[in-house]
Amino acid sequence: MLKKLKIGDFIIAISVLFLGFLPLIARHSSTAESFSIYLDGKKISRLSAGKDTTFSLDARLGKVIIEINDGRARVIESSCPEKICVRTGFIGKVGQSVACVPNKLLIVAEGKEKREKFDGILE
Amino acid sequence: MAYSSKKLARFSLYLAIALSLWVLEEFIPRPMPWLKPGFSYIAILLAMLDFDIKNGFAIGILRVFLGSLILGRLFSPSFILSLSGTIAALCVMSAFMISRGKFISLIGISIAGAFTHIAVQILVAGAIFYRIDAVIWLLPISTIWAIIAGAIVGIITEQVAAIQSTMKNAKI
Repeated sequence: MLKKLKIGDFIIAISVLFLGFLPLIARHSSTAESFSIYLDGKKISRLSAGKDTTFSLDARLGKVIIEINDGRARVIESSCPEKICVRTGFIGKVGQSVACVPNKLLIVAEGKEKREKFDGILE
Repeated sequence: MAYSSKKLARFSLYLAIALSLWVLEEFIPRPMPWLKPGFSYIAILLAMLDFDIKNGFAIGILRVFLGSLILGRLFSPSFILSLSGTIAALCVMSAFMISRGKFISLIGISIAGAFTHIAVQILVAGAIFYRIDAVIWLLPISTIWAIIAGAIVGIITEQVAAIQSTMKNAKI
């Protein structure tokens, strides 16, 4: 049984292993370049991480205030009952997100160019 | 394609094996619902060896259609995922099948197919139903599963193929 194993089998197994773990290697290394804000599944705004601002918007239940400070983003005030989004605190690494389910709001930290292209293909 | 009755009988047998393994697998308890052992690929790989790549494709795709019909989920989201995974896996496996022999055995082909199936399923699920970065995290654990399950399927197929060829040589 094991005699039938060929070199190619090991090459396939190793390359498959590498491909499978690629997302783990690629992620969580870079700091965010920008933050995309999704409301009801639609992208409504994109804030640069380089500029410190506060951004307020009207979500389903009312006002939500997002703050960007020192390259990180957080929700400082929300109209939702449980305030999970507020308690999530700051996000700053690519791929991290803050979600406010009652307001259907999602903030995703993104890198600059590569991710934009990737999302463009899928959309 | 004109089939002789003997060939038609063998084709039907492979399809029946693939189909019943695919449907029965659904009832085996498993850690996560999308992680299946993929035993039906044994029949598909054997059909590819016994006939040609085209017939292997036919069995793989018919298995998804008929199996989904039996399980009552034809054209549902999980059907779309199964079909896309199967088509991608069949393409990769048939590409490797051509270069089978000195450097690649059925075990490697099976591992490549298992990984392709699961990876394409995850990507399609991300593209159609969720956000891609929400589901890409499932890939590492699925890869480990694919390598183990793919190796088991490959070993079984290799053994059955060996028995088949000795039987053919003995003209039984």
